[in-house]
Amino acid sequence: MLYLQDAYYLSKKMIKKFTLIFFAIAIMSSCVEKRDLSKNIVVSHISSNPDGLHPFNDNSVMRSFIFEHTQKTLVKLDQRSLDYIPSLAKALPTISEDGLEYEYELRDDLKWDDGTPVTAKDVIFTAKLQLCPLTDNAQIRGNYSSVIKDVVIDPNDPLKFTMYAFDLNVTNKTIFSEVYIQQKSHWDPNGVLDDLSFEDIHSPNFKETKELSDWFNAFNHGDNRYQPARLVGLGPYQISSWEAGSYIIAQRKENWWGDNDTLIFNQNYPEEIIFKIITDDASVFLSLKSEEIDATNRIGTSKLFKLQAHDYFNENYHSAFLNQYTYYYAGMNMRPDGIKRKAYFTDARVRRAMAHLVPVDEIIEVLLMGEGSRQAANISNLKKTYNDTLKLIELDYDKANNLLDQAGWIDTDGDNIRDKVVNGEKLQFSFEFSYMSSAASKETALMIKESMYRAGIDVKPTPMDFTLFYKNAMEHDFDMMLGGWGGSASYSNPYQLWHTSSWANKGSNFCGFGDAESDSLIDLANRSIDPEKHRQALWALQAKLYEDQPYVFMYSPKRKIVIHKRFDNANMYYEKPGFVLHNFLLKESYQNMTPTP
Amino acid sequence: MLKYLVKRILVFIPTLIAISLLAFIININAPADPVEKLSNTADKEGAANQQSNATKKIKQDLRKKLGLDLPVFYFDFSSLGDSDTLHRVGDKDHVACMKELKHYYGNWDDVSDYFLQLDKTLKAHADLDLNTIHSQQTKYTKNEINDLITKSSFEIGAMLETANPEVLNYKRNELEEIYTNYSFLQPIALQFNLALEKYDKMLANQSSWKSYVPSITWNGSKNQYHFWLFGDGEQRKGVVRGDFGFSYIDSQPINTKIWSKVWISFSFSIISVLLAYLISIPLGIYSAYKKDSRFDRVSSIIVFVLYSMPSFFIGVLLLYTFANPDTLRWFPVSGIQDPTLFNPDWTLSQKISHRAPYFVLPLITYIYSSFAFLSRIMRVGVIDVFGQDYIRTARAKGLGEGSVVLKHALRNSLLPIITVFANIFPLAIGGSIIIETIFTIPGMGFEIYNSILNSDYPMIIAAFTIIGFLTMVGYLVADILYALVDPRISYK
Repeated sequence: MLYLQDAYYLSKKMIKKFTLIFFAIAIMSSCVEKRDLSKNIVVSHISSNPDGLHPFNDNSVMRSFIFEHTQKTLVKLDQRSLDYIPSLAKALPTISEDGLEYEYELRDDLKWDDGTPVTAKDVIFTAKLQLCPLTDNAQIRGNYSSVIKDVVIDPNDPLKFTMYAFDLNVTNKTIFSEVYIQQKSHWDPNGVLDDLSFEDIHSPNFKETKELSDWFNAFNHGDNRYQPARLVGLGPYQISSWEAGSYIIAQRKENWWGDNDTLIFNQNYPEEIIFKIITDDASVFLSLKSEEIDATNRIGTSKLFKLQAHDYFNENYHSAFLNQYTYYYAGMNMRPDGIKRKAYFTDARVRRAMAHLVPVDEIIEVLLMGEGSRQAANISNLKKTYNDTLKLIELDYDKANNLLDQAGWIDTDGDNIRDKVVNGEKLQFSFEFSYMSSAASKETALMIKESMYRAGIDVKPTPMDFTLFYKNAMEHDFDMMLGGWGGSASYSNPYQLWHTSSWANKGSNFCGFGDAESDSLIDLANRSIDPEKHRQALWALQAKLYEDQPYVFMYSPKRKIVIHKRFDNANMYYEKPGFVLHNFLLKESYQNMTPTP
Repeated sequence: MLKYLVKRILVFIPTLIAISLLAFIININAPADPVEKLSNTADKEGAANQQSNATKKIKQDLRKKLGLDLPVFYFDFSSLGDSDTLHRVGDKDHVACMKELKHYYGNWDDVSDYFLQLDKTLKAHADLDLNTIHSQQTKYTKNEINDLITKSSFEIGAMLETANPEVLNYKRNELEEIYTNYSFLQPIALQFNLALEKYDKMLANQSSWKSYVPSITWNGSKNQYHFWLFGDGEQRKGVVRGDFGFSYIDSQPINTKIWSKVWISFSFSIISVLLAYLISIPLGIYSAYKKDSRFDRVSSIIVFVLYSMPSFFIGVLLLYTFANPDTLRWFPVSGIQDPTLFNPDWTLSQKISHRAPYFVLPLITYIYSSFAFLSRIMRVGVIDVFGQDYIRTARAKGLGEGSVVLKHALRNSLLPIITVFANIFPLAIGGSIIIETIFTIPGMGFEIYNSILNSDYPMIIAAFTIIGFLTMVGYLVADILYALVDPRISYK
């Protein structure tokens, strides 16, 4: 062992050296500069990379959030009043008596980045792109191609145009609220689309020429989704940098057309808006503690509670739990095939009993720490069209037991599980409860299982990944499923979720709700321009949903919003994203602040 | 040695073909339909009969662009009853059903006739108008009429997706009963009866023996595998030229996505392996000298305790300790650079010094668990080597202690360490999902995780293929290093 002594001394030297080097690096590295809060830059947290920022071909929530700053539409939803207001248009459209013609006039001070004026030609060009089958936007095109029949420019005024609708529909007047107006001379300087008429676009025999095909291939190219220089629009900011997976920087434009505008949606106080991607909740928590981000609407409930317990956090940030339009539900298969999926929920009394057995309030208390709200049917209670005559269904085992007894589900064999003979076959009330794998969903499923067991029902929680879950839902291959729908203050057409054809055609009416009456109510709601008639139709539809209970409508979790106090105008709204970043005005006290290490 | 290298590289070729075949098989059998995924129409537009011609055209073009309208491989091992046109059918569920029917009944023409007629029956539902029927058939409520149309449409849709005779008969009887009782469904009944005639013909002409008579069909180079491997010479270059296709999530080219992220994971894996060696090797030697001492035992316990702790725990613990204003705020919380300060025009040294603090905590999380493994291997290796005769010989022939240790002992105890080194290459692509998520590092681990969550098969397959290739490269490099370190290994 003597000769090992040399190795020992050598290794000892090495250990010393490396320890020294390591600590030197650590000390050098530890000189983390505190962020300079006097800079007029807003750092906003986003939880994932947007799937692209193409004006037509991408659809993520992140994209809409970023477009609030870089693009503009003719009309927009006002987060404050939750009504539509004109944006690029001078006023909301003038509507013809038959409700099929919508006359718009553009503001006369609109300018593209190259200084040329915005005209109705740009709107027509944009509408063609939105509707053309060669644009890569198949997922949303149907929403527009079923509404916009034609757009015609006023021969006497380049700022006026009329949109002709195919049919009477309540969404006609707001159809342009999510269409981001594009510059014709920038995208199509040679006028390739000039000869393409709306009639051609709508034709079932649409034929593309080689020239059109090449033009659209270039237009749909990935570079128009990611290259900052190509992400142009009428908004006050221009994307200047995109580090995939890290951050996106939007820089304030010089000499923007709306510089002197007073509307809050046309303000551009911050020099830069940085959308910083942070995926982990603990990192968001620490980033807020270290003041590395100025605004977020995506932090966990418990983390925000922890932050609010610290004085220094409350000194630095405004924070609140705000209601939103998203809701979660337990959907029941009302029209099972009887072979693979048995008839557990075909009787409305059984579905009502289920609603009495889901411990919604307890779930809100335990999983959302009380920060959630309830709704009786498909429309959020934040909306004016919410039917407030419907009473929330309470947890009530007696009522549930009575309803189950009436429906013929009785424990005949004494095994504590109810049973019933259906089509000559004895069925145990033991069904699969599908959910997308996550800790919160599992917790919810287990709470429901426990509660239902008390009424003699055996729930089998069945976790699965998103693809399979969604496929099964569309193919009606489930007994009960735990799902959720996002939403906004704008009108959500009930057709997709509740029309019978959305069940037969494997749309999003997973449970099989509906009959001719509900279909006609949906039709009436969609076609009623008169607000009162529209409301009445929606009330009746909610009442029918309440009666039939295809879903146990569970809860709407609250949105968590945090905004740094170094800004004025730090207002919070129900409508997503919950704040208006470009309206954040750096306080004078911060402008003169010297950063401390 | 050169001969050995050439041999090894030649062996790469069949292995790579095997990897590519395996990747391709997984790709074409993936559950989601890439065309539906890319066009994202399933959610909003309902079933096929609701889709406009334009949407169908988009899908056809996409199918062509992805090469999915081609036969699968150079040749098909099939049977006499098989079709050579089945690959042209778009819907995956319909393809599966037709395949099963073909298997049961053997005669492709009959199967195809029946299927097309059933599809026509489904499409006939679109021509029924609820109000018109109701005005003619006042004895039924609109609800009843609507329910029956919906049910008929759904049952026919279901029949298009099943080949099970029992289910088909059950649905057939059910529908026949409905059509007999409700005359307003006559237009559907007419189409349905035609479909049943064709179904019966299919049964009558049943020649399932054909399914058992093998046949080989030669498809030539116009097949999906060839397309995937070599491209079409125009838009797609093929995997051999580094074109792995487009991501289903954002339609970006896969290689662009990989190149923009791989350097981050590669930097992390190189630095972490180097650091792990620099710390573990001296620690191993020191422990070998102090064998069974208190230091040896304590260091063993510490490294094994570290080894047993999951990296997400250590990662979060480090963040809460060293990136937290309540304790120590030595390091930044997330990312690899500060967007408010970072300037892409900086020099390399400026970029490195700016990014260094961002790398410290993730690197520690990356490497701590390897201390136990590497230092223990080193310790055992050193103890073993110092007991060998050649060390005694080296000393006997008068070599200095440093030379004995560095040239003879250390080199020989490095062999197991080199084996570990081979993993560095695939790690660069695989990254570490957990660490990249905790520290929001835009590396490959997170990218792959995301692609698995979103069933982005081209990305998964690209990662799978490249990791397979780099693993082979890693082992080749390890073999070369073995020879360099130990002169007794010559690979003759």
